[in-house]
Amino acid sequence: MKFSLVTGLVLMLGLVMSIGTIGMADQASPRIALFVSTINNPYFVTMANGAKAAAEEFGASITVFDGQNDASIQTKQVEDAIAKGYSAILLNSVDQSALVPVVKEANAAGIPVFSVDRDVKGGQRVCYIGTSNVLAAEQGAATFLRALALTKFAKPTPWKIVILEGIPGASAAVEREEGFKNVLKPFIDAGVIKVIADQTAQFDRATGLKVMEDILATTKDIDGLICANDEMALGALRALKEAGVPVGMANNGVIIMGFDAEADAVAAVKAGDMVGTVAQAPFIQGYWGTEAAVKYVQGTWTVPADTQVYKPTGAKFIPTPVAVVTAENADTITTLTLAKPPLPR
Amino acid sequence: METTGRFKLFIGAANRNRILFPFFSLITLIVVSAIVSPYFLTVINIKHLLAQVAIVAVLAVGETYVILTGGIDLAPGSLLALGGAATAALIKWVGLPIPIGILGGLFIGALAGAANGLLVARVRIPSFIVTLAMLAIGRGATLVLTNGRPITGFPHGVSVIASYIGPIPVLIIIVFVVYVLAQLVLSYTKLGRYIYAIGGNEQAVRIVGINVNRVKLFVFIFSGVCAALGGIMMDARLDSATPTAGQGYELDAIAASVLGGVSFTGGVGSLTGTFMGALIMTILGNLLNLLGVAAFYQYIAKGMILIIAAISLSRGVRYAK
Amino acid sequence: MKGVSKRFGGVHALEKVDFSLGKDEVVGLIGDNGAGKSTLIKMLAGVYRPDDGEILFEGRQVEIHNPKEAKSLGIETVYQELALVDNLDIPANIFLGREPTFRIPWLGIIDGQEMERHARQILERLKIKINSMHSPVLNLSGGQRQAVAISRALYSNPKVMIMDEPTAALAVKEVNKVLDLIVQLKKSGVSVIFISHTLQNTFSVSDRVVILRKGQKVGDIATDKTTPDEVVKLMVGAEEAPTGVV
Repeated sequence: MKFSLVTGLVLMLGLVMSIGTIGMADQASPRIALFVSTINNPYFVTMANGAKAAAEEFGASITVFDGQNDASIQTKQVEDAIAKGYSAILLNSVDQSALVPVVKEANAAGIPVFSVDRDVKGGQRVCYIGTSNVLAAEQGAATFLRALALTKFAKPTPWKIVILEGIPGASAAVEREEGFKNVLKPFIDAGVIKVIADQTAQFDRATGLKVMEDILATTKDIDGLICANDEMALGALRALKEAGVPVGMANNGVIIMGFDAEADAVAAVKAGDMVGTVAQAPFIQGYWGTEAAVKYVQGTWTVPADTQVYKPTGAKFIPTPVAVVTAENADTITTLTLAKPPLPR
Repeated sequence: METTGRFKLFIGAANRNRILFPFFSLITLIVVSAIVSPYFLTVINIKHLLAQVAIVAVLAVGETYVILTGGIDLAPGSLLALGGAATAALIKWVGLPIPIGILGGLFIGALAGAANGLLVARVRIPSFIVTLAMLAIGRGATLVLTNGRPITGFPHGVSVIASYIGPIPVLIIIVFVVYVLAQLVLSYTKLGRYIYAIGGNEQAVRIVGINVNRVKLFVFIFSGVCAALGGIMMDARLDSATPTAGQGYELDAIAASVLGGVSFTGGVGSLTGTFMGALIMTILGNLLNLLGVAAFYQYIAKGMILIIAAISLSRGVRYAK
Repeated sequence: MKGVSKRFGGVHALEKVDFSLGKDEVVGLIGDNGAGKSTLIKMLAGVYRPDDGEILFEGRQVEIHNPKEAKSLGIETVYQELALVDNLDIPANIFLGREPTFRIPWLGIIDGQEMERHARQILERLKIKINSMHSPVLNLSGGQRQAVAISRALYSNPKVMIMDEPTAALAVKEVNKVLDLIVQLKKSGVSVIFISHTLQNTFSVSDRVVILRKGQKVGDIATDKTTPDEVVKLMVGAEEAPTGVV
């Protein structure tokens, strides 16, 4: 009885401790809190790494909180951080509305708030550092369309495409869908493109595989596949290959476009299986966010006067670079995504 | 005369195991699917369907064992990811031979299952709480292990697991073997008998001097191993181990058991039923995709089916405690 | 048992009670709720251990640490309702925890036919008729359930059988069946300790009655030398105890 209690607890504690030791640091330097929506996604891990790199470089301590994609959890985490008196808050919000109240609480406590990658719709933010998902998706869709035309020009239209959407209702899914449709709609209306399936695959690889398998049962005549993230694209790619459907421009196969420039997807682009993937810059987002916060607290940086406004939320918008990774630039993409370009002043 | 007698006996036995409802539901669903979608009964679709059902089905075996003892296991989804990632890391990073890597992954699953089992059986914490904690810990451990990134690109041997022999996926053959063995254990061994008995009346089982704790420990370890096996199958299918794999799969495993007639209070049900439950879930999703039904409605449809199943089963042979 | 005592916290559940049981004897144990009947039999069954006093079995002093040791001495207990597993069938219940297996090491594969054959034999010995051996015992009547519970206890050829409220919640006809069973047991050489709330039942099968009150023995009389009225007085404490043969 005692033995099992101890064993059980030790097993649990050991796992917890190994995670919990991150982020103990010097009290005198600026203490930055980074709230990511979820650490369950490589994108945000990279963002946290960027933030840690900047913290080290600029002599600050950083603590990363995992919001577990749950607005109430993240709200509580921010409230606790306000109580603990962090110097600045970097918020990658789970929900654009639900986090507004805690942002206002931070304002009242005099703690500067920077939103990163995902903005909120109210409260005072020093600035919003991120990409516009809509703009990025438009760039991706444009590249997709170009590759589709280059590959399928000999095939009679309409070219048949599949769209895989993200988690229904998630802001990234909604905005990327909007970006895709902004570019594709004129061609759909003109009858150049026909959407034969427009399904969600939950931003998940296994679901992407399953949904594509089901679509393949109805038809193998697919010209293009555009996905709201790479995980789904990679799952679907696996299904296409299993079914023996040719993929990539070189094989006159299915043109696949992803989003996020995950390492696996970049490899697939290099191999010619995918035509491209949209690279946002999570590393730079984390890096810039932390750099801006540290220097803002120390009084050596402030938002440039000529900064544009991000229309959907009204925040001062410091855009991070977006690039579409293709076979041409895939080899240099790591230098792009792990670069530390200077923070705009 | 003889045959009708036997038939009645068969029906009686089937009814006792509560597999009549899932059986007829499954048949109905297949018939309806075949009528509604011309693509349903094609070789390629059935091939895919069998591969798709495999992973949920294998998790559901362990889940059924746990539910039969009157417990619940919420950890399989996370342990799937952990077992899959551990196997991937052992093969890809440590460079162990594939079979050793697989054994390592299964062992990790067993270890996590053992932690569940010890806390449930010896420390007497309700299984719901213990496995809820393991759901979080397993996912966290997976993220720590993988540093939050997928592990991709295995040696060729791994993909054999996800290949096809003719139109038959190797995955479903593995699942079939697991089901047959697990059902034999349930039907013909002392262990299986005690699993049912504990679900029926744990107090009585303790009084006759059976080591109840050991049986409970076993079912949780078994469930952990099944989850890890699911993770390895997922690795092979995706040719990668993603740290987010299997999220929510525990609910599918529970749903498959319930649809298959396994009583939530324990002691009643069979793996035959559970497999049919897993098939019903998968076919339903497949059909909705074939018909191009939007995801929003798919959620609703799946929920409705569960409710209908629960109502129908509670109207069948009642087993009151 | 000589001078056994048991305390739960500050409560004296039993205080210096002597209790004996002869061969082929049926002793009725009588007392109000909380008089100490359950505590007494649980000490014999190995569930509790006495704080004080000693237990003698066939003249030897013994210590009974757990139910298994009680069983190996030949003491079997039939508890109230809780002993049966409702979702299992009759043979499974009778053999629970000691299923006959094929001689293949490790696997523990149950020999179902052997089990059913034995189950039938035991039921015949008790002169019980049951139509379907394979429906869950949930579907049996109260008397049949009790018979299954007794059959289970009987399987190991016990010397002593303790029966805790075997007639509670049974119809009159069923009660008589259970009482017949006790007579059968006695004939086949089993000593029985019988606990019941119903004095009538106790009197009809017991050779001797032992009366407990507030943890103390207040009476120990041969059944044919007393009346239910006298016993009731002893139970509620209206009369001092005439001590019979110990």
